Amino acid sequence: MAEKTKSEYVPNIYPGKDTVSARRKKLWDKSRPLLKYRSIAEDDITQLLSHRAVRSAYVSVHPPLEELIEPYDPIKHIVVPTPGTRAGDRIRFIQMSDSFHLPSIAPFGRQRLYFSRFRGIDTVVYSGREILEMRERDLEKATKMLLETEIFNPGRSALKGITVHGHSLRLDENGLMFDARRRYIYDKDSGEVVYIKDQMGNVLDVPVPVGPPLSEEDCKKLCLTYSWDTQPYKARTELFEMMSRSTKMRVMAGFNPEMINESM
Amino acid sequence: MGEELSEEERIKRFVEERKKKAGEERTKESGMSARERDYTRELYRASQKFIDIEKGRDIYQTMKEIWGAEPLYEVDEKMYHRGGYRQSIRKKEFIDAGKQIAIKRGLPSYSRAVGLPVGQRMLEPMPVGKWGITIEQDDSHHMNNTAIQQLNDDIKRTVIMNLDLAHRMLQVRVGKEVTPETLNFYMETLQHTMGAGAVAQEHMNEVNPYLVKDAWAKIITGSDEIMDGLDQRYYIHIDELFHPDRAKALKEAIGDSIWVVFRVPTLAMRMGDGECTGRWAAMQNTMAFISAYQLSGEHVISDLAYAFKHARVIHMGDKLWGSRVRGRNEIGGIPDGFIPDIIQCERDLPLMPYVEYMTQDDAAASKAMTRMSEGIGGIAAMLDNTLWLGFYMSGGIGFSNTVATSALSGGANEDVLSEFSNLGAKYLRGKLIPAKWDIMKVMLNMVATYVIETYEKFPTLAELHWGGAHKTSIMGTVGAGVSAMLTGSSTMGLWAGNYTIASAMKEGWLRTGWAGQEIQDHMGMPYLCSFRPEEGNLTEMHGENYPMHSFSAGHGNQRAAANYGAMMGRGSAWCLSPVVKVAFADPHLAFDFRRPRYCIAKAGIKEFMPDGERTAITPACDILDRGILKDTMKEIPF
Repeated sequence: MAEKTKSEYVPNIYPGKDTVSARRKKLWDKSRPLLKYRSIAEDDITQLLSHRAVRSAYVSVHPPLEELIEPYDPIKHIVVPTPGTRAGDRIRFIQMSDSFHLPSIAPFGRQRLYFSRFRGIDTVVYSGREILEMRERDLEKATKMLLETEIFNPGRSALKGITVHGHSLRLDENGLMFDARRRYIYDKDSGEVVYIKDQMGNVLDVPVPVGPPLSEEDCKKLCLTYSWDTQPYKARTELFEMMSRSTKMRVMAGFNPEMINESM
Repeated sequence: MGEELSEEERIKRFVEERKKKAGEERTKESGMSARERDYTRELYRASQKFIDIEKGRDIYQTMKEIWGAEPLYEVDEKMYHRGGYRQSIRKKEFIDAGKQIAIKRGLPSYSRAVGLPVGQRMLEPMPVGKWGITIEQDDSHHMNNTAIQQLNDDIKRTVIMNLDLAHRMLQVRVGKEVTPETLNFYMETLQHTMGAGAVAQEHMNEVNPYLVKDAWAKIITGSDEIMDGLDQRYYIHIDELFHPDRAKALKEAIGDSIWVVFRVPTLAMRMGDGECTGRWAAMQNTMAFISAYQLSGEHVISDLAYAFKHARVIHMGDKLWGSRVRGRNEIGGIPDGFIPDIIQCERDLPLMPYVEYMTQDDAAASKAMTRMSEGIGGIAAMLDNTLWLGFYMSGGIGFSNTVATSALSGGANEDVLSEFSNLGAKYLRGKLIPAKWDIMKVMLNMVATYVIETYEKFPTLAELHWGGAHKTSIMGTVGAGVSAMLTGSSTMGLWAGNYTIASAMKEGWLRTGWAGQEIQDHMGMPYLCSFRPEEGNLTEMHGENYPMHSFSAGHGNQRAAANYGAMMGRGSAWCLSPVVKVAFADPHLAFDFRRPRYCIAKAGIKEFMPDGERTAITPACDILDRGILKDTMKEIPF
């Protein structure tokens, strides 16, 4: 009898075959690179984050790991430290807010993307914002990806370290998401969104352009959430079946895992 | 046989295939395929056909009234140009008051010079219920709204005691007769002692009756014979206050027992806490017994006190656990099943299961749904979000108030619910749906996606309910309420509520609200369906005091909707206690538990008169001088 070939497990990532499901599958699959839409200089990213002065040295909260003598821990041999951890950087954060109207990513989408693509993170999901905490130099690297790729729509995603209100509001006259601190404005001459304040609302010496807002068509194409007029949610049979099944299993078999069977 | 190719041709073909594949990938990644574009465009075009239908909905009119703009349009062209806080009359009043106070007391007060600029978006007015009253958001803060304060006070200052044990003691151990005459005399004495009037000792400090004019006690009984013998002022008239079918059911449940509901003075309860209510009532009740029945001797009096303090007493709330410790009769200890009993919105409706309302006519079913919405929005949302989470737990944060007020707004929630009622009337034909998930999920998905799409269609509604917790609160309430009303099962209601938030809403929008869903809606699912004591309990016995959940804003409505909806779904006259149901029908209460949103709206325009005033003992002076007059006392030497 021929030996059975070993099949490699391929995670399905997300149920369904519609456009939104395909988007979700892509963003949460770390093997698939995200398309780069724009370039933002590293110094500009440092300015936007506002954790350190541009080109200043990283502040460390402990000596480099190589210099530390720590008690034996087998996990430390398995997990390779990130560059920021190895250097002893502070833990800093970026907080992003995403509009309710055709967003290219949304809070739980960010959470799943962060868990899938980053290491050494802590993240909290709220309704309109998502905070990501990492070692400082790791964070800057991650921020570059968050701002330069297809998941960032300058018009409908924003850095909001404080005063995050506005994700669910109507858009302003230029189609931008509301920001009570007006960190960003639409430059009609260049057609780009320009940050005039950092994520904490402090005025920047030099404004940072982050590219033009996505067109309405691009918004619809890249939208990660369902919408009644573009990608109706109620038609997603496979997704609803999956949710229904997981709910039933959680309720009926939460304390009795032996009750799980094929009919559930 | 395969085609024989030279090495060069094979490489050429391979390169072409790679190019083609890469091109396809690129199209897929960077551009929309023709089919996709057609699909999007066609669907968008199709959706435009339904715009007129959307314009016919109540919600359209409500949003238009609130925003003064096209409700379906997702751009606010006046954003950032609305005049800041000056667009709000209330904010302007606050600014003026802050300045006056700062001058008078020599310390800064409220000032918009600190913090972020307010009012760059529209500070929208809010119509409450369908009463035609519009208030500002600030008016619904519990500190500004006397009705919300009175709601809190009227619950916390209520305690109910049973007299059967006391009467038995009087008859068997003391040899006293208990007759209608003695009961009337006892009740008259009790009205005096409830205001801390002295009856047994001569030289006692007494309380100014104006301060305690909101203190009284009334009998609750199901026996017509007992009621016939009583002075009409001393009992709650079940027959007059409830629909005849409900009155009959309540009287049967209460039977011949005699209960007394005590209303402790608002001021007394506020000086102490909810726990003081039971103490005050037990003391004054015992004094009334001593006086009315001429009692003396330690044994019977101590037993009476024991009966009133512990043995035969219903507190509105249990005491809380260590880390959130508070005594009984505080908001955190109210069982979820008491909240539908406290709510009175349905009491004049015929007693029948909700699905039977549907068979009558659309209007009747909508009315029942509206009543549920009134009770949940006006009472449950206030108790859970505004008072417990926003005040007791968070220390007065205004966010929870805004979550609660999302349940107040008229024309928004009712719209969804009445649409659903009409739909149910067409398809269900008066039959209760079995409380089975496989059946319920079909209905629930329809309801959940309907609400979700309503938010998507109306950007103004999304702006009104601007936080995830606001939407969570509405989604959970609709999901739980509808399921409970259709099945009569509170467990299914709560299950549906959790599913609506944690699955339907979360996967559709990839967002929920205030980070609570991972710990309540997911974890809560196995707990809510397990009745083993260490795992769960009856849904009606849950509450803020229930240790298996970590509650977040918006969930109180959901739990109350599950219980209240199930009560109406079953066609029951009460949820957990018929006595509590009758106690809050008392027309003497300042807060009307039948029309809670009306009271809150009235308070928003300063037309609600609360209890607990101190004007009888304070100097007559300008509002600014209150609290500052004490300075003059400092000048008087000892």
